[in-house]
Amino acid sequence: MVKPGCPDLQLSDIQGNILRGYPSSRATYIFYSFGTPEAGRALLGALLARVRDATDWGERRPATAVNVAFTFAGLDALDVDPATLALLPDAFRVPMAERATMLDDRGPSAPGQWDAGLGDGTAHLLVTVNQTRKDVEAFEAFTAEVAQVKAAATTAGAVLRHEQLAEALEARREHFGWADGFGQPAIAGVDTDAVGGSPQKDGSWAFAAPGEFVHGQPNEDGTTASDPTAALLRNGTFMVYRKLYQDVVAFRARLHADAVAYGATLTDDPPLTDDQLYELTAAKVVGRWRDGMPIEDGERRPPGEEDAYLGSKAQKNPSNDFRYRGTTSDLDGHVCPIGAHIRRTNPRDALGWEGGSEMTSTHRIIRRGMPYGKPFADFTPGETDDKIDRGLIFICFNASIERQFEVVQRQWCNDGNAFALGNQKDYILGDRLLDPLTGLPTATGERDGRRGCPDFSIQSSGHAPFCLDQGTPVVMTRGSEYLLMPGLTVLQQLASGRLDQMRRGEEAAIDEVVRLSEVGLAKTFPPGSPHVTRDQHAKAHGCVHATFEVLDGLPDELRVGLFDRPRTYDAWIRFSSRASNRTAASDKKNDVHGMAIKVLGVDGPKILANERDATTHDFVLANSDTFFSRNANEYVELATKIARGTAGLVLFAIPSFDPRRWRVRQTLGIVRAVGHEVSNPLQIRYWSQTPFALGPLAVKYSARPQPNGAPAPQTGVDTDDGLEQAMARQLAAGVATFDFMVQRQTDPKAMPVEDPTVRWDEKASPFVTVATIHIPSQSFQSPARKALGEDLSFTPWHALPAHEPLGGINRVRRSVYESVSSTRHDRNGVERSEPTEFKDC
Amino acid sequence: MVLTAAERAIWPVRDEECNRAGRARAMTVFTPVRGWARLPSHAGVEGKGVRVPGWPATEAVFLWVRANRTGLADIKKLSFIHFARWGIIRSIPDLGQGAEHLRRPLFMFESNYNGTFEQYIDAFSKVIGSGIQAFWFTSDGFPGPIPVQPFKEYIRANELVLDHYYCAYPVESATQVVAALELRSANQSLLAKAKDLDPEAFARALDTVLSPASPAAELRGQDPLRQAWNAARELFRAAKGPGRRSRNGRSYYFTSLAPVLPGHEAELKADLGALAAASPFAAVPEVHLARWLVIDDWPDAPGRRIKLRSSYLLCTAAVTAEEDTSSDDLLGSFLAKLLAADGAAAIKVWSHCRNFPGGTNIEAKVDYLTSSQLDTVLFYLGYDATPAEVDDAATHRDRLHSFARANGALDPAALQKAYLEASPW
Repeated sequence: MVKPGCPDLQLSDIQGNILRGYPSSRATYIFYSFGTPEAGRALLGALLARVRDATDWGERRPATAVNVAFTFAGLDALDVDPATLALLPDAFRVPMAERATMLDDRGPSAPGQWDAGLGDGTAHLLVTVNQTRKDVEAFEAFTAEVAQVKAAATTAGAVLRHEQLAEALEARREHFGWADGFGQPAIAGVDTDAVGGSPQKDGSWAFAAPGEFVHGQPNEDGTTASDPTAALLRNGTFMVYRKLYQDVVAFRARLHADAVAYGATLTDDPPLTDDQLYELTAAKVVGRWRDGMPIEDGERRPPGEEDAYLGSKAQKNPSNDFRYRGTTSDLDGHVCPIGAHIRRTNPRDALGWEGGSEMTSTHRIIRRGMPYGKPFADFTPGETDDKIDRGLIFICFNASIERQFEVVQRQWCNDGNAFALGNQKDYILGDRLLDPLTGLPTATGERDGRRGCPDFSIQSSGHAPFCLDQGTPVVMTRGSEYLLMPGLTVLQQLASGRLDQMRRGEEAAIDEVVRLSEVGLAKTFPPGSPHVTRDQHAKAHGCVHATFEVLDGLPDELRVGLFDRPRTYDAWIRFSSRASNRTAASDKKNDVHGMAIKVLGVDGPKILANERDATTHDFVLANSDTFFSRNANEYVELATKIARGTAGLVLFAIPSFDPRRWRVRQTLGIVRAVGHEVSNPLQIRYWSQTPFALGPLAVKYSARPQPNGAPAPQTGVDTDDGLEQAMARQLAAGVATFDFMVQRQTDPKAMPVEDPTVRWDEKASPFVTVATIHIPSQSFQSPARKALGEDLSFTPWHALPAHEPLGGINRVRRSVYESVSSTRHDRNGVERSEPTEFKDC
Repeated sequence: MVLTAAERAIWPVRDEECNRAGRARAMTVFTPVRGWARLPSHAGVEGKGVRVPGWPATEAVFLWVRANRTGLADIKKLSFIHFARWGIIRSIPDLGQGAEHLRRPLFMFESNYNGTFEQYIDAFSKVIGSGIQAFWFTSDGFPGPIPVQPFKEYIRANELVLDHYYCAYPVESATQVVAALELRSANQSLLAKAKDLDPEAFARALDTVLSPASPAAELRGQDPLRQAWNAARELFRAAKGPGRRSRNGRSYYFTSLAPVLPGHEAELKADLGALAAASPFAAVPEVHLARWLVIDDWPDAPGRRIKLRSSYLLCTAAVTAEEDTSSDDLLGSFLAKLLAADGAAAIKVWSHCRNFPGGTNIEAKVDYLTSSQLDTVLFYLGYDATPAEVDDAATHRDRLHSFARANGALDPAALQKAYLEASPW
């Protein structure tokens, strides 16, 4: 159960159609396979820009929406780390055909009967194109979009394995005639009304937790997964794709016969007409009338009004506000039979524990199905089949296939035991001729349940349940796939072949770092403090104006992102010390020094979803070439121990008697970082410490001062603001110039991405200058300039996607930045926004 | 706690095949008990530092449950479990391997349930979380019932895979059995008076039998003084071993741990595997559910370092006697039938155990198995009936429903006549 409040859903990182359905009238599902990882990445790369996220569409709804999902075979074919893949859920990993027996896909639904390309392990990638408007141009756009997807696939060398067109029927019905698709869980942060979420004992509703449908969000247990698969699953969901053939003639014939028999037991006065009986029986087996009205809302309707609900206002705001206990008190199924389709698939409070949702809240799914094939004509007794392939493309989204979809399918639809209905199966989906144990067809001798018959039973007050004759199956599986629909960041990473290798427990460690920095901030600046500074690098020596000149004639492989063509950008550069309290810190003490560069006027979308349209690109550097902890977990340990002073540091360095566990590099890194005597921040060298992407490469950055006149010896200063004064002296008369350089990773072992305590050998891969930073002569000590320096937020994540920060420490920085920067600006009452152009103050 | 890829890889097999007999699924979990355990925070005692000695605390919890049946109604209402048994193993009887006195006692839980593992654990952690907390809080590494994922992984990591599992009525779930027994008893009382009812009243009575209402919510809560008195009485209730407290009403939960002869483990497993569907337990009409399992390698779950002198063959069986016999008679007759009737298979299994008597003397073999028993701290019964009664009730139910379906359209008088003619059910 989720408490009121808005969870932090990253809608721009979640694919569309999951949390909120598209108003789709047509969809094409195309399954591809690719021969090599490169081909897969090429195809994904070509599709990336088309993939629709879950943000609002605003005024003008687009005509089409493209989404992509991978099968397990697809992730494997993309060369995703096998150790991560092995930890994905069983249901997703095992071939579909193996899962088929568990799902009753046997007999006429067995994998042998399936369409080619579905469930046979060949499909790697599913591309879904939805037509999201109804006008003629939208149809043309849809056709064009499908053609473009196919062209991209051909270019990438992908093989088409299966293609399926689905089209909404009139009034959003499915082929058996029911209006469909509106009984969905109400999700926290998505829906405005909790009706249809989790029924509560007090009669109210609670929102379903978003983590039941999107990974990385808290689920009904209040937890988020933090195992090594978390990075791959983040903001993604598992998708179930099933092609279900519907035998309309057989269904209508069966229902008709059942209606006649059931009618004979009714004592209505006046007696129901044949049509009324047919509709009543239909409503009994499904739990909703065909127009969508729940049978709980009325068991008898005036003749001719069985479709009154359809297209009405009520249907636009679908009636989900009903239960099986409570006011209607229908626990015994006298109105809505216990085994009715919608009561099985979403038992609401009927299966609850004293009216709650303990037994159901973790078994919900979001359905986004769409009918395929031409509709069948109106019912006439004795009609013959037109042999047209028609049915439903069943699609559902859930965080856990085993716990959600499969429970609904196996335990609730294909078995009756959970409802004390013995072996009874769903009237529509169930194949009751299959033996529940062996899956083989049964002839006679079914064992029945408490309420009694092997077929669908309609309970009524004071009478034995009436048994319908369920007969042969009317819905047959024609294909089935389990897929992962990843978040957009993960899609980018899959396309570049550089998926985060998250360490075990990293998410928890990151949360802890965020908590520690918030605690630190709150302690340093108790409520009422006039101005809240950064928790790190709070002491500024100066925020200077500079130009960032990308050089001409760079090697091709470095001409990526910001460096793609020679150009001069304006920039702000803030020189700082690490000290967390700027007033207390003195320049006389050794400290870590930072150089944060904010390049202005950089076009193109940025990585951070909330600041996608910002025109800034940051480089955050420090005066030591390595970082002092390898990963988030170690960072947390250091932060906790360092609070205890020198003894803590020793404990961090020597955590056990085993010399292999001594942290030599880390300790040296700390000593080196603070060991420098600095007399002028403009005359020392800075490094990025952690690696960054540069297109397909991984690089580290460095900025080296050019000797402008005679460099002063770095011997420290003797006043508290000595460094600021030294900068002021240099810039009063002259300029400062830095070479901005990149160092390529040439050996993944010796130059690791995930361990920034390791120095990348400059002999093996020397730094190459890609840009020159000119700091002109200026006065930067005005209060306005100082205020600007305070308000700017620097993070390596202010970056073009081509420069994506890599490794665990950078992932920590992302979360810490988002938390500290927003807290700081909230408390200072300053709106956080990136500068759009250079404007001196 | 995250499982290795290899551990994950065997899950579906374990869940779907090895631990399953029709609708029934088996769970067998051993967890080491801590020397001192911290009281769970909502146990009513404030202050997190309160520590209690490990196994005596768990013994006390179960003593209370035995005395007052606390929480058992909830388990019954969940209706997932046929039979379950909890035990605390502090020593293992000496059958030639040398007596074992465990420094860290083992807490043992075994269950015969319906549904899937996921559903089973989800439901239990949500609905009777405090019960699970009370039962397992002294177990090493126990993460608490909520959140459920670490709890599931904890159970998975400590769960053992069976080598043989038998159910006398694989198509019946616990829910179905309970319902069939109720239906049979309702029908039997109708049968007794059916002749004397007028046709209208008879038809109404038959409808009532066939459409039972959902059970009303039970009243809860007992006088705490009364509960304390019950617990005190339970404390002084005599229970003699071996196999103390394995009795519940007409039923007995037999649990034997016999040392396997060194080097015989693989052969024994092969023999058990070869039994497949032809279970020796099928020859014993008193047996509901039974399992055999060779424990030669304890799961390498975090926090546990179980080292025993020997590999063991675990055999457990839930049995119910026709009549109210003494425990000794019940057990003796069950074992004698198991070993005598078509006994070659069962004897072959136990002949891989140390000091298992050879020859034709059944009594010696029965004595051996009797002395190999472990104590029980709680035996939960989903229903009180013999397997024959369960089978009879199921047949009864099926016949009654077929009758109702075939004769539903008859007028009351004809219906009554047909009903009387169709009896006995």
